[in-house]
Formats: sequence, structure tokens, C-alpha cells
Amino acid sequence: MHLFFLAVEVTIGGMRIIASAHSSFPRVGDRPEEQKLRRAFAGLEKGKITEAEYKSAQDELISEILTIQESAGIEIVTDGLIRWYDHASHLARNLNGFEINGLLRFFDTNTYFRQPIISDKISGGNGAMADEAGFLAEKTSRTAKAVILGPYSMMRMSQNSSSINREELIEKLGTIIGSEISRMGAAGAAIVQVEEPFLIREPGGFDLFAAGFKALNKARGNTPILPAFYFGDCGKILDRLVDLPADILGLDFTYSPGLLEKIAVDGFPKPIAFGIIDGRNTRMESAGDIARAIEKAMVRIKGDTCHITSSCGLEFLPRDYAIAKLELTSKTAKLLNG
Amino acid sequence: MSRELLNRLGIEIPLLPTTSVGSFPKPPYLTKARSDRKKELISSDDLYNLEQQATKEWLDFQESIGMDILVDGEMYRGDMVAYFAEIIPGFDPGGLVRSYGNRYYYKPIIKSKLKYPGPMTVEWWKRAQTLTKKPIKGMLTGPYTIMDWSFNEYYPDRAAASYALAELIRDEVSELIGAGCKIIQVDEPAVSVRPEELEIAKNALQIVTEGQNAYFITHICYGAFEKIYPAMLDLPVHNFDLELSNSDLDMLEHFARHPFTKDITFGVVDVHTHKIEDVELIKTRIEQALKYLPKEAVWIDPDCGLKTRTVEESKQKLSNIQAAVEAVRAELQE
Repeated sequence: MHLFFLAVEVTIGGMRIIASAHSSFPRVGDRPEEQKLRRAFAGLEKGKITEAEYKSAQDELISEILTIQESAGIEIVTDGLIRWYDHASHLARNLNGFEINGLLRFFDTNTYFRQPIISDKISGGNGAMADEAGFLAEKTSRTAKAVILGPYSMMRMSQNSSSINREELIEKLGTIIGSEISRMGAAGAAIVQVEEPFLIREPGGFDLFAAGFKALNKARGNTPILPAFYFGDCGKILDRLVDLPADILGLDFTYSPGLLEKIAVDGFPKPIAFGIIDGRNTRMESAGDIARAIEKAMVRIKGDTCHITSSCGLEFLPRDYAIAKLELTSKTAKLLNG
Repeated sequence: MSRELLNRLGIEIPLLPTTSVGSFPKPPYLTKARSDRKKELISSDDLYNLEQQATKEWLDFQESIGMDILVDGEMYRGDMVAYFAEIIPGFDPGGLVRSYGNRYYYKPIIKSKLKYPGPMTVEWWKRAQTLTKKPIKGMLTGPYTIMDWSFNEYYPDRAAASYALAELIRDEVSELIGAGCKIIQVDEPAVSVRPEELEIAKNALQIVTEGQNAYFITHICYGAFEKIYPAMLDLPVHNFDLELSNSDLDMLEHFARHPFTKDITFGVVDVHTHKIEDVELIKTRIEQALKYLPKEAVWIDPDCGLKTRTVEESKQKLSNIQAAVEAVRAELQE
């Protein structure tokens, strides 16, 4: 049985709330001892350390980040995505048939990604992402959540230089990414978060997204998935997400005015990962206020397990604030669980 | 085209004037000195002297290759937002946030009401201008970008924070003009990322520039220009300094559909690659640009600040830009 289903035993009113890390975590802090990976990266670029030594530095940092999450009371943990250069190029590098191009801004952040270029020869991966999931699962006794970019966002973040049309491409990417998810699950990931930030900004792309997701679902096997939508108003697509073949939906409530109230009134037939702790601002919310806000929606949700997490990955915050947000997440979960 | 304004300000520029976006890499001795200063191994005066030395070296280099509008290279600044946030009361220094790869910046936090602290860049501009007869740009970060690249714990919303910052930057612009600065660049790289907030950026820049007697440039980069073009032409500046080569000049298609109505500083080399673009490639890019833009309106520079490159790479890129521009000028005059 996956750890996902064992993570929290407390139940109040039939609904369990699990404190979860969203995805990324700051890979450096402000203090010199918190900048080992930065120094290792610089050493790698200058040829002073080997790839293997750099990987060891990554491994060490992942262990530290897991300790931080566990100490903060987080039940569903990630590796902080610290091996990723960025969402798109990390996936592209670990699949076949992609080249990596110049920098583009990642939404309205001051963070950038390298744009993949899609060729006619795209195909499944080299197993590196499954190895990463396996490492995470091995290093934690908590629920291991691996993360991958979804087919729609991958297509939108890439340049299509192939002869494949959009409809064929989205299905192909869905199948390739679904296979990766299957391998990540087999390697030990209890659940895989499929990030689709582009969809909310482009609700008109839903049919294309759905086609990609259908292919992904077919290829993912038994691995539980959590499609995550952030950086936009999830209320615009909520009704269409209901039928998505997913175990739980990750929604960003900081960009979605009125969404909690809508769910409190209409209910929702699927578990939700409440992305409600603001991952984009240092301002600290009150656990009590957030718990009160969620409570009314929570009782209208069908299912027995929901997650509480940040609105997006925490890498957009300085590390000390990211830690404080993790602590806030688990404090809020405790309040909700009674 | 604003050559008339530049003439009125007493500035003469050739066809396709060459310039830089703003920052240059710090020479290794200055990088070490900044690190030593943090550890209090050297005095602030020692650091200041080395910053002056590096500034002079970069000015000498720009003059030596024949560049037209110079920059001081920002040897005394770390990050373009953090520099101002460290000076302006109301900011907390915040902490390190990753930008890409192994690049991190200090993202500050607006904790209380922001106040103008007095001139922040004027002494550096004045000192640099005494070292050359060529015009040196005044370099400021724009209010919208400072807001967007900071956390806001004080102001009720993004617009309020932007306008509060705009008042401070306006004061700095007045100080620069008072000191004799004629060309002022207000960098707004964040302006293209939330098209729905273009109006906020425009209002903020209006506060900064309205009634100020200078030629204004804004630098915008690494965003979805196509989403704010041609509306962005309404921003109250005379010249748009744009990153164009990183994205394979794809904005030219948009310029073909909607003519560019202001001056443009056209980025012709990628600043995020170690590869040095050769003169022929840069020349081709300029020629491409001139198919869509009137030659009197075009300035030439790199895509963005060069501070992420090495000193040697930066010098090679700038030298090749200058050589390419001179070759194109010669052809245009034939």
C-alpha cells in the first residue's frame, strides 16, 4: 500500500487534512553554510568538481530539505526539485528528441526557464526522473511526492520545430509523461504531482489539455496523480476539472477569488489539495484565519482526504520564509484536524 | 524619432548609436574586494576606490572601441533592485531567491512606508561623467519592476506600491537632471509579464517622467512582448531598449504589422551565452532590424546587462557590436 494512504491517522468529521509540501524549495539560504549547492554548481561550471561530486552535493541537500520538511510537520514531502534547472528543461533533458534553447521568463516571476525545442524524434526518457523519485522515497519515512511537468504546459513552454501537429503532439507528450509517471511510481513515489500552470491562463486550451491528460492517464499505470494548477484563477476551469481522471486536484486559492466560497456552496466531488498558503509573498498568514476559511469548503468535499499546501512551490521565497510557510501549513492542518 | 529632443538637450548622436544596457561584469579584483568588505577585511574606502578604478576601466574601454552613449557599468551595485532597496527606508533586505541556473538575487521586502533617502546614484553619475566627454546614461530601476521584484507587506496592492516607488524615482530623476544628466534609462524588465498591469506601469512611469527635461529610455527584457505590443508604445518614454536576439528577432513580425513609433535600442547579442557572436551575424541582425525600423530611430546594444558574462566575453561582444555597426554605417553611407 502506498504511504500516501497512511500518512495521517487523525480524522475529524470524516475528513483528514494532510500537511503537504507543494513542490520546489529554496536551494540556498542566506547563511554561508546554506549555500553548499551554489558553490558546488560554480565548481562544476569551472570544471573544479565532477558531475558525480555535484550529484553528491544535490543528494546531501535533498536530505537536508527532507529534514526541514519533516521537522516542520509536513507529511507529504518532495525533494524540493533542487535537481531541476527549471520545469521544462529538466524534463526535456531527461527525455529524447529535445534540444534546449534560450531563457524565457516563467510566468510573472523573476525566474527563468530554458525553452525546449521539440523535434520529430521525441520519445521516452532515460530513467533519470524515476531514479530521482526512488532517491526521494528511500530517504524519507513520510509520503514521497514526485513532481513532473504536465503535457499541456510542456507543449506551451516548448518550441515545436517538428512536423507533428498540436493534436498529435499533445497525445504523444501525454503518453511519454504518463510513462515517466509510471516509472516514478514503480521507483517509490507514492504520488506524482503533474504541474499544469499554463492551463489556467489559457482556459481556451482545455480540450487540448484534456487530450494530453487522457493519454497521460492511460500510460501512468497505477501511480496516483495530483494535477496541480497555479498562477491563475482556478475558478474559471473548476467545472471542467471535475471529470479529470485524477486522485486529487491541486488548486491555487491565492489567485482564485471566491473559489472557497463557491466550493462551500456547491460542494465538490473530488479531494482537493488546498494551495492556500501564499507561496509568492513573505507576509505570514494566520493559521486560524486560513483554517476558518477552509473549514466550510472542506465539509462539502466528497472524499476522506484533502491536502493543505502552499499556492505554488516555495522557491520564490527566501529560505527562512519558506520554512515558516511550511510550519504554517502543518499548524493549519493541525487546527483543521482538531 | 527623438533626435530633435536630443539636439535640444545638446546631444549629437551618429546613425545607429551604440550603447550598453547598463551593467558590466565586475573585474575579479572587485569581486574579491566586495567579498572581503562583507567579511570586514577591507574598509569601505578601500572598496570605493576599487569601484572607482573599475568604473574608469570600463569607461576607457567603451571609449576605446568608439561607443557613443556610455554607461558607468554599475560597479558599485549588486542587484538592480536590491541596490535601491538597501538605500530606501521602508525596505527590509529580504533574502536570496533563485533567478535561473546558479544565479540568485536578494529579493527585498516592503515593510513600511517608503521614503526618498536623497540622491542614490547622482554622485556616481557625476563622477563618471567627469571622465569622458561622451554622454553617460543615468541608470535607474523603474517603480513597477522594483515593486514586482520585491515582496510587499505594507501597501494594500501592487498599484499603490508602484506609485509610492514612482514618487521616489521621480525625485531621483530630478536630482540627476539637476546634476546635468540628459539621457536617463528607467529599467522596467518586469513590465511585460502581467499584460493586465500595463496600465499600472504606465501610470507609474508617467509619475517618473512627466515634466522632466530629459530623453528617457526604458529597458524591457525576457517577457512576452507580443502580449503588450503595440500597447506598450504608450509608455511615456522616448526609447525602448529591448532584448531581441535571445528570441531570434521574432518581434520583427510584430513590428511589420504595427509600426514601431518610437526610438528603439535593438539588442543584437545574447547575454546569456558564452558564445561570442561574430561581426557578420550581428551585422545581419542589424540589417534585419532596418527592414522594419527607420534607421534614424535605431540604437544598437546587447540584449541585456552583461554582468553575467566574464570581462573578456563582454569586451568581445561589445567590440563585435561596434565593428558591425561601423560596417553597416559605411554601407548606408555608400
